[in-house]
Amino acid sequence: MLNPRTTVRAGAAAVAVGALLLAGCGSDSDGAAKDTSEKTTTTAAAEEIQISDVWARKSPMATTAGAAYMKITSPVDDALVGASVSSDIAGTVEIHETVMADEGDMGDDMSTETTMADDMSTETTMADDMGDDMSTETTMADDMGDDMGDGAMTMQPVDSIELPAGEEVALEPGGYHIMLLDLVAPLEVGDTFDIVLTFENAGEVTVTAEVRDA
Amino acid sequence: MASPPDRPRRAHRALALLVAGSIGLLAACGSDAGSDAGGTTQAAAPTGDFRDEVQGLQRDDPIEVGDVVVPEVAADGSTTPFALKAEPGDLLFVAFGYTNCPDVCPTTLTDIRKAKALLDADESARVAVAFGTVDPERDTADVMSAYLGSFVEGGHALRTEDPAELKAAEDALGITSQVVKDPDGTVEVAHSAKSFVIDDQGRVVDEWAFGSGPELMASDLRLLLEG
Repeated sequence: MLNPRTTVRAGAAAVAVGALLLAGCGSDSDGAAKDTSEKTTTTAAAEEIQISDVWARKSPMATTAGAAYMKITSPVDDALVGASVSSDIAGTVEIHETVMADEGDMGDDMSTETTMADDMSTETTMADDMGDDMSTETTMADDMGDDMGDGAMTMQPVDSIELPAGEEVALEPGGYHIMLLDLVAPLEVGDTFDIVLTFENAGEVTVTAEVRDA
Repeated sequence: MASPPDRPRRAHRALALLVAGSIGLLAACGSDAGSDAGGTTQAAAPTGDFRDEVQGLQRDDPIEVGDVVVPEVAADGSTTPFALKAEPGDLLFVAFGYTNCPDVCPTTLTDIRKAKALLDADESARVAVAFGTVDPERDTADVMSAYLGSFVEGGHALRTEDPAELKAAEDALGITSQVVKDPDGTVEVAHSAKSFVIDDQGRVVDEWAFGSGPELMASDLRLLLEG
């Protein structure tokens, strides 16, 4: 049963079942997705990749950047390795992670003379990617509560998001997000658009994001 | 710095996540029918969650920033000196960021907007909102004005083209920022994600970590307004 194609299609069905009021969820192509969505088995949800709560924040005026979020639970070890949207929505899509910019140097001691700007200019002048210096930092979502240090954060592109078997991985504000660059038009509350997610094992899965004022 | 008081932040956060998770199934996917419910809240309960203790960071020896002045810009490019100090009897919310920020900044500005909505109208009217850019090259006056205006009405868009003036403001608040232009033309911005509540004496009376959320902010603001 679990050849890759079956997995993808059944995965869409699992999303459909989980989301209950499916309208517009999963693939918008009326062929495969609708066929599979009729398999209203509850066991599928436990076996196939589940993607829920797919949303993007309303984009403020005057910006062309946006972000989409969701929750993903894979039944097997997998990884989210790509995402794309129609060119009608955004020019570029990247998987990003918001991280503490420099946890070690930006700790709780606010009286330090050393500013982050000073630190980072020395660290990054020879590096073409600021993200390289920050790749070991934890995400804000994990430790934000107790750390009232400087709290400087930045974003970095990531190649993949690991999805350990059975664990819900949240793409959420302050952590992982699907970054939408060069938005063609502002994202308005109530709008929906499809995101094609590419998983290492599960292949491509299309989900529909709802634009929220959240 | 003063050591932060122990706060029930984790529990609060966990609860918020739990709530978010529990409504997740209902709010998932873009059903037309569900757009209203899904669009109004993510983790927020509209009724708020008011506590009797401030949950943000309050220092024993508050930071004084009332002498810090940053230009407030209007859409037409005109500027007015803006001191980091609330109007008498009021509070001033301040955060710094940049408008091309897709994740952190809109989260924080949405949080404060929702926090104000959780307050009574007369309370909300006493909380001014200021947002300063750390990326003035791209965040021109009209961009800043439109950006902030899409979150809150009557907000104060702060922008200076003088790096020393920006740094002075950041230093006063104990925050930092860095804008790096990569050879390929992309601009990477790092900036502190904290936000601040300042009283009418220019004292920082509360500090919120990123992700504190509207309920916590509203609860703190009500207590501080009463105080």
